[in-house]
Parts: sequence; C-alpha cells; structure tokens
Amino acid sequence: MAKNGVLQGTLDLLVLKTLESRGPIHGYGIATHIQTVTDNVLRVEEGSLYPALHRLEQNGLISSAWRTSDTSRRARFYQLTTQGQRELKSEEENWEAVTAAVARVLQFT
Amino acid sequence: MAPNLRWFHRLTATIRGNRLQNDLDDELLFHIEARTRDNIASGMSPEDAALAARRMFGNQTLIAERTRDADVNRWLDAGVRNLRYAARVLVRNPAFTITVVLSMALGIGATTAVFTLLNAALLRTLPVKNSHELVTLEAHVKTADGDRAMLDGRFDFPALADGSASHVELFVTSATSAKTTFGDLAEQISVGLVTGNFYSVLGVQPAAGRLLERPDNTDTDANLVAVLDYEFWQRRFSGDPSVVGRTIVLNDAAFTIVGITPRGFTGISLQEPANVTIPMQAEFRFGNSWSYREIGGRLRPGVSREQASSVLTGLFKGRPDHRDDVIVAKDNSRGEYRDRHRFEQPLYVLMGAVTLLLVIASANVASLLLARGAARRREISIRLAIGAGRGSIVAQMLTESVLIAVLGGALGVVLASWGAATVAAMFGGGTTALPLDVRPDARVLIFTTAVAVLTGLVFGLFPAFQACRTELKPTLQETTNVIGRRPRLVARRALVVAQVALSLVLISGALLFSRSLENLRTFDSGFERRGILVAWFSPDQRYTVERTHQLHADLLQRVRSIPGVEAAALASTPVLTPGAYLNFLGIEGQSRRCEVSMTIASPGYLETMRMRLVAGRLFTADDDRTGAAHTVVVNQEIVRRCFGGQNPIGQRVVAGVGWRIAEVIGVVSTGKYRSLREDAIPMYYIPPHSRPAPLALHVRTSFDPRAAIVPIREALRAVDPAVPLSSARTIEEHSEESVIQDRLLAFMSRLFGIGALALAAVGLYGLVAFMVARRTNEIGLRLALGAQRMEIVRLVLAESSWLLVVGGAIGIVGAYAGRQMIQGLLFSVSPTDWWNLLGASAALFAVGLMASFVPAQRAARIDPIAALRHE
Repeated sequence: MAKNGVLQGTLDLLVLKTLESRGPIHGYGIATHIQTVTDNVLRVEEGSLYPALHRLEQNGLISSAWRTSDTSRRARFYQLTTQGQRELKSEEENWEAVTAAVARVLQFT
Repeated sequence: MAPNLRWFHRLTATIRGNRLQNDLDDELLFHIEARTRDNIASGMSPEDAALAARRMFGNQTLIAERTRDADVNRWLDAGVRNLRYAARVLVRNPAFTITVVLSMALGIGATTAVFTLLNAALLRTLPVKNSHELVTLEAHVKTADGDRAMLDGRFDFPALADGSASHVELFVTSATSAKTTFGDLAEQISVGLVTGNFYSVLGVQPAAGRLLERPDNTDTDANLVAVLDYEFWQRRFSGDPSVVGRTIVLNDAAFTIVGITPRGFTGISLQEPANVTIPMQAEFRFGNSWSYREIGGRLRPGVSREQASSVLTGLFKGRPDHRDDVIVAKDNSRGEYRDRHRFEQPLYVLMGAVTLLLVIASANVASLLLARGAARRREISIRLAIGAGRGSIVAQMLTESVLIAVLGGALGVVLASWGAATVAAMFGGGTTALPLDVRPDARVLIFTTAVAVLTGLVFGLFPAFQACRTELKPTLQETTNVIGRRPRLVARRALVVAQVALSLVLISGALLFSRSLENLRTFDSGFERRGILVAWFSPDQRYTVERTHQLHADLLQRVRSIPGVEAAALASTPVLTPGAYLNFLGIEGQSRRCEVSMTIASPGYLETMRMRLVAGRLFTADDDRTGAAHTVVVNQEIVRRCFGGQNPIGQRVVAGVGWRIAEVIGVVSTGKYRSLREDAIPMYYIPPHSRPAPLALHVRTSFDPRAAIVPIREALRAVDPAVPLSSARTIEEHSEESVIQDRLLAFMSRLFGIGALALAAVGLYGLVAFMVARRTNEIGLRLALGAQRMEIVRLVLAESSWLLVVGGAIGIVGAYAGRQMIQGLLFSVSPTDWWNLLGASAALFAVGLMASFVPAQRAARIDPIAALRHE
C-alpha cells in the first residue's frame, strides 16, 4: 500500500502491537499479519519494515533471535522487550488521544 | 536480547560488519521465499510466484543498506552528526575559528613544549627492559664535616660484585676521550669504558654485529674490541654494516669493531653518549690514570634497593679504612643525568605556570564561545522548539569545543616540537644542559591529547550550560532593542577577572625570576666576572715538572705582552666550574683538621681575578721558586672555620697533600668558587711549585676576552708548537652556565608573562567591545541628553577598571599563596616583594586600560541620532 503509506511513527506502533499479539514472529509474518488484519488496507513496505525492526531493536524495544520457522527454514524472530511493552502502552494511549482529537475535528461542522 | 548486552551487540555489529550482512541477507531472503511459497499456494506457477515476490519486495540492496544503517548508525550517528555539524559551524565562521584554534594552539603548544622538556629530563625511563631494576651505587663517607658522597677506589669492585651477586648484578662504567682519524681528518671522540657484562645486564640487543661480552674484559691484545654508538655509526660511517670487523684506531691502538648499539640507546646516562665503547680493561691504553668510574647494576628479581644497599654496606662494615661508610643503591631507571636536580624544580614550576597560561587561553576561547552562544540563542531556541533534547544540544556544544581544542592541540604539537627543540638548543650548550633528546614520545602525545580533550570539555561547559538555561518563549520573542532584562554577562565577567588574576600571578613570577637572574649576574661574587678568558692547554709526557714550570713562565711572559692584556696567571680550578681539590688543613700544634678546598694558583692569579686582599699579602714570584718556603693564602671562611676568627697571618699550617708545613701569608675575601648559589666554601691557595698539577691560563683583557684566543694560541705556538690549546672559555660563560636553570626560568616565565598579558588584554577588549556594542542605544541616549564624550569614556573605563581591580586583588592573593613554591628558586629577592607585586599590578592595569580604551573611544564617538535609530 505504497500509495497511502503508513504514517511515519505509526509503523512502529503497528509493529509493536503485532509483536504483542503474535509473540515471537519473523518479518514476513509481521507484514502478512498487518495486511490480513486490515483486509489489505494497510500494507507494510519491506523497505520500511526491516529498517524499522532493526532500529527498534537498537533502541531496546524489541529483541530478536534466529530460529527455525514452521517450514524448517532459518528465520529471524522478533519479540517485545519489557521496555517495548511500556512504549507500546504509551504509544497506544497517544494514538487514541490523537485519533479522538482528529475525529472531533472532522466531526465538527 | 538482554538490555545490558545491547552495547556489546552494537559494538560487534559495527566491527563484524560481514557477519551482520550475511544475517541480514538471510533475513530478507527468507521474506521473499515465504512470499513465493504463499503465492504458489494461491495458485501461481513457481516462476511467476518468485518473480511477483521479488517485484513486491522491491530493491533488495537498498533495503539491506537502509536496514544496516539502522543497526550501525544509531550508535555512531549522534557523534558523527554532531561532528559534521560542528565542522560546518566552524567552517562558516573562519574568523572565529582561526582565533579560537590559534589561542588553543598557543596554550596547548606551550604546555606540550614544557611537558616535553619535563618528560625528557625527569620522567622518561631508559629504553632497556625492566628499567625499574636499574641502580647506581653511591657511598656516603662520614668525615669531620659531615656526610659526603664519594665512591672512590677504596671500594674494590670485585669484592663489591662478588659479595652482592645474589642481590644485584653490578657493572662499572667510565668515560674518557681518544684521538682517532678518518682519512685525513683527526677527531677527538668520546670513549666509554664498561665491564664485559654491561650490555647483557642491561639486556640490550645490537643493531648489527655483537655487543661487548664477558670474555672481552680481559687484558690481551686479541681483545681490543669496540662497539660503536648508533648515531656515531650513522654520522661517521653512514650506517654501513660492513664496518663490523674493521678496525678503529684510538690513541694509536687498533680496536676491532664488533658491533653497533641499538638506536635510541645511549648507555645509562642521558648526556654525551660515548661514540665508541670498549672493555674496561683496555683503559691502560690511554695512559690516563685519571678517570672517574661509576658502579651501576641491576637488582635481581624481587630484591629491593634497601636490601641490596644493606648487603653492599655490610661488605665493608668495620674494615679499618671504611669506618661507618654506607653504600646506597639508588634508583637509576631514568638514567644518570647530572643536572636533573638543577632542572627538577624549575621545570615543575614552569609546568605550573604554563598550565595557568593554558587556563587563560581557554578562558578567552570560552568567552568567545559564550559571546557566540548568545548570538546563537535563537538558533538553539528553535532547535529546542522543534524537539531537540537539551542533552543533545549540550552534546552538540561540547563536540564543537572539543573539536576546537583538538584542532588547536594538533597545531600545538607542531608548535611544541619546534618550541621544545628551540629551548633545548638554547639551553643545551656547554657542560650543563637540558637533555637534547626532546622528540615527542608516546607519553607526550597522550598528555597532549588528554589536555586538548579536557580543556575542550571544560571551556565548552560554559556555553553548554548557557544553552541549557535558554528558555523557549522569552528568547523567541526577544528582539535586540529591548531595554531592561538582559543577561548581565556574569560568566564572561568572571572569566575576565580570572584571566586578570592569573596574569598577575604569571607577570609577578616573570618579574621575580628576571630580578633573581639579574641579582645572580651582578652580585659581588668575590671576583670580577667580566673580561677573563680561561684557556686550557695540554703539555704531553715530555714535560717534566721543571719543564712545565718553564713552559708556564715563558707562556705567561708572552701572553702578558699581548696588547690589551691587563693581567695573566695560572690556576688549577677555574671558578664557577664543577670540580675542586678537596683537602684538609691542620693548624700546627692543634689536632683538629678542617675539611677545605684548595686551588693551585700562580703569583698574580688573585690579582687577575680581582679577589680582595683582606690582610697580609698575596703571592709574589719568590713564593713560587723551587725550594722556596711553602706559603698559603686562605679565604675568610677558613679564618672563621679553622682559626676561630683569629688573625691567621704568620700561623703555620699543615696542608693536605704531603702534609707539608706552610705559612699563612694572606687572607682574601670569600668568593663563589663552584657555583654562584653555593654556601661559603673554605678555600686556600698554594703556589704551583708546591704541587704539580694541570693549570689553566687566566687572562684579563681590556676588550672582549674571546678576541684574545687567537693571540694566545699564537703565543703558545711560539713557546712550543707541540702544545695545543685545548679549550678557551670566558668566566662569564662559566657564570652563565652556572645559572642556566635561572636563565631558563627567567626566559620562559617572561614568555608566559607576556603571553598572559596579551591574552588577558584580548579578553578584556573583547568583553568591553561587546558591552559597548550592546549599550549603543543607551550611550546614544545619554549623549542625546547632553552627556560629555569624556564621561562616556570614563563610564566604559570604570567598568573595566573594576574588573581589573577585582582580578588584580585575587591575583595578589594567589601570588602570595604560591610563594612557597618558588621561594627556593629565587636569589636575594623575596617572593612576596611588594614592589614586585606593585610593578606587576601596574603593568597589568596599564595594559588593561589600554585594551579597553579602544572600545571606550568607539563608544564616545557614537552618533546619538544613528544610535537611537539603530534597532
């Protein structure tokens, strides 16, 4: 969904939330999860996803490990750290506040 | 991954880039494969599925690169970004950059130069393995007048070495010189003599061939072997390795060159490395029985210096000729350096002084950074407003100042290596000198780097804190012409006050050292220092005692007839040179003996030196005839110490050598004999016929004494062409050498004082100019309301006077507090001399007012109309 791409910053939120609900999961899994859950409305670009994953890891919000996938192929699995959980919580609250605010603006006639 | 491993991970990510890349490629490949599989599952052909997956993925390389950036960059990112930003800021302001970088280069350069000297003279250890184990032996011999350090022939080396072998391995070193020829060129070179174990004890490896070994130390012609010094080998033989095996002739004896010492190794002394080193046993080839020796060695592992000392002392304890002699194994890890004690305190004091100078220079840079920080407040506010953390802004400011300091430091190292070499060359001549090897080593570079980074951080803190305090709203709303709330420049004022205070300390130090040197140069040393040339000549073995006497008489006669020569005489130990005949004096009929110094002086010597006769008479030609009754002249210190202040004229004394009875015929005033700072030395004089000894010609001239060298050489040639003039120096040169540490202190402290004065003036000027510029409106208003221009000048000058007075007062307190440190270095001037402090304050005040007068005048010339319009 390159055309109406995911807002910068929102991608982090989506990734963190996906990791929270889906546990340890590889990059492809994250991409398909978001796509499936949003009925193809949101598509995460690989060009943004992997840099984001590595950045989040450097910031200590997620961690990674190499494991064998269900197709017995070596894959890198990501999961949330405690710091990541805290960050997700505050990001979620923030998101709700912002969307509520935007909604109020849009509803104002 | 556990959070505490994150740093480690980043580090490995940065270092092990390759591994990371493979991991990343794997990860991305998996993504494509997984999608391909899903595509197949949804009914695509395998080829289409793979193609679609790839197309959907996009540019794999680009993604890989961007992902890698996320891994590596975040770690380096901030630092690199700050650095690049800092570099851009500096490049954009060339005038600012040049000023601050040059200030830092001068400050750090001067500090590094002094540290280079200090390191070479005091800190650096010898380039041998485990240098801390090296010792040198010193014997403390109890005499009637107290302890004296001398390790003379009574301490038999084999007995020392064998008796202490379990604690320390000893070697002997000595030095002499020899004549050698290279083609047609004859050269006098320095020769080191060592026992065969010298190099193996030190653990030195040859640059070529082999070094001396134990079997070399036997006395046969087959063992006339020599080792060349590396520098000498380079200079004389252009580093030709084939010289090993050839012979070198030293005083008519042929020595086989067996090897070359390694580069940078100059033996166990910092001074005068021997050009050629030969086995100790070859000493007799030089027909030179007079030669000092030194015993050094290496402690066995685990043995302390105290243990070795007590074992060595025990070897001689109780022997009849040794009484209570004590042998001390002294640390020699840094190598022997005769003048270390002379330069030790001066160099530490100069290090302190140059540190103050560095602080003054840094204060200027900090002040400039503050001024610019004020100009950048809007920029910083904007950055804060768009979400930059204060921490990142502080990091940014510190990066800038560290970058300035490091650039200054790099330039400073260049300045320092030039400066240290210049100073070493200035004070490197003659017999007393700073060690010449002032090439910067690792320690110097580490020092400079540390100083640069540290100063960068410290002076960067001011502007960084200022940036921290920046508040958002008021700054963004601030315009330039708001009267009222305005930062009061407290930080910059404080910096200028500190500069003034430190400058006062440095200037008063420079004045003190200059006056001390002047006092040393001009005080009454008991003789007239100007206008005397001392020339040594070397009669060979043909000269018997009688013939030498005749040579002396003929020479004196010819020299005295040279036009412009006022007086000429001979003496054994020229004044203000190290070395003296130590002797005993006994008074007939008394058992007590006095320890005294002796000079052999021909009739006319005391007159030539213009020493003052206090009582009796001086030597005449009759006193120096063969068979004449023995006579001595004593100085007042002998009268005080040995005669209890009683008139000694006509008294009969036994003088040390030969214990002959002699009559005291005269008393001269006590002078300075070995150095200008010595305590009064008891000295007596005997005429040459009483005791044959090498004598130096002393010539007093009415013109520059150096101009007498040529006619004196001619006179000597006329007497006997076979006797060469071996050296000629003036007493004034000896005098200058004996105050070399005072000259170093005066020279360097004057440089630092002038530098401090200039830097403080620049600091004050900058601040006053800045204040005037900010008060343009106010001054314009005052002028418009009828203020006289002189009043404006006075207003501005009052401001800077206040800073000068406060800084000066603090400086005086500082100078007073620091008096202990330099007390011992001063000669007849008190470190708290009020005239001195007054002079320093006056100089500082005058220069400070001059520096503020320029902006003050600019303030007075402000056009009120323009100023009021000026927004």
